[in-house]
Amino acid sequence: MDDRKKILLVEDDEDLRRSLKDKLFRSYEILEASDGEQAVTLCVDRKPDLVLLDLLLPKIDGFKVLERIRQYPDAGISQTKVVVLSNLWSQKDILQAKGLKIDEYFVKAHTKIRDVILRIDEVLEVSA
Amino acid sequence: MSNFFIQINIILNRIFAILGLRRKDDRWGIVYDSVSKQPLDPVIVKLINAVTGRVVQSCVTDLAGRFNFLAYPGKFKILVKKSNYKFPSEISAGDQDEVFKNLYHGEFFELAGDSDVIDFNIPMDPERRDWNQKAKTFVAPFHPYAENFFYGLVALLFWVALIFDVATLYALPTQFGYEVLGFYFFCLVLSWAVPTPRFWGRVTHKDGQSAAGLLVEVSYPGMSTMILAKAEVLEDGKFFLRLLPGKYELRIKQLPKEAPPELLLNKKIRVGYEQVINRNFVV
Repeated sequence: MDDRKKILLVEDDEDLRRSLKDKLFRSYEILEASDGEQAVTLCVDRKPDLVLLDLLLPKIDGFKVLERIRQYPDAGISQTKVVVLSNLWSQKDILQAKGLKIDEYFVKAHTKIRDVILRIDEVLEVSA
Repeated sequence: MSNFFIQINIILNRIFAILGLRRKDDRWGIVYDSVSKQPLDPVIVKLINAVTGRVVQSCVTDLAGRFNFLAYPGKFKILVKKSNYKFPSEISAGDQDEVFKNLYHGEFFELAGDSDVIDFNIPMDPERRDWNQKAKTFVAPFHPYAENFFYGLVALLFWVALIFDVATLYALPTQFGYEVLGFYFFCLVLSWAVPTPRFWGRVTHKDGQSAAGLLVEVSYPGMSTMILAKAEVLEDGKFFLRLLPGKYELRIKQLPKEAPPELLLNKKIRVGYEQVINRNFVV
């Protein structure tokens, strides 16, 4: 049985998802979703420790995914840690995501994957 | 160049852009769809050293398909990856197409100057329908066709008005007509003489020495925990940060080993249409 912490990667671009997975799979158990509906389903069924969430997603967008997670009756799901990794970077988008109690917001175009991983380690209190 | 002259240079370039005499000079590359010409994101862009084969820098394109690397002299190649797209492009196989110039197809290239910016435009061929690209038209309705049309129209208006003024002077010479013609020529000469705004910022110490190794980070005002972009100051004191026009808070930090970062400067800044921070900062 894999007792590593679980991360749900929600990213519709397969290459970017694979690139993130390659960097994370040694330390974490990785679940993958390529659209918003799949993300909510996996979050409820598999209860990941952290969701790494894109905002522009097919079916339902990342903001709605966040809303559904936060409104879920089970506290084990509604309090899931969420790190946003998106190319949306207007003040409005960031404030909207912050209002949904995210743990961090990264802009894809201005972020190194290494920094995302360091922050995930911090949020999950995993020592390097 | 002092911040005062940088500001004057920016203002003059804005006037030239309004008059149609100069296009905004983009100092970054764009990855785009070779069929629709729409910018692509997210694309993983890797800069590879030709000698060692190692990835020197990598980044992900933004919503407008832009990427940038400030690299040192040497021989390099670029690799790009995006789901549902193929590189190198066979559709836009030449040096330019109807919208983009300076096209790149995976060949090796050499950089001569320190901190040269790599500003190739990179076409990719669509292989399958890409959801992200379709959705993006609602989020970022930016398209290079529209930008080309706008700049072309403004430039056309300038030259038509100049020809009209010359024709009017020929038929009916007036003092006012000559003054307008003089203004036109003054603007033309000035636009040839004034350089384009620089695209990098510089950080120096009070003694004028380069502040290499410091960290420059930017956030929205009052949101200092949410870092929008950051860059390291290079050996020559330069740094490159690309942002959307607006107001920001800039912080310059020292990163001592095994100690909390030390804040050296915290300043409110405004980024204009050049979309880069190009001022000097002293710490």
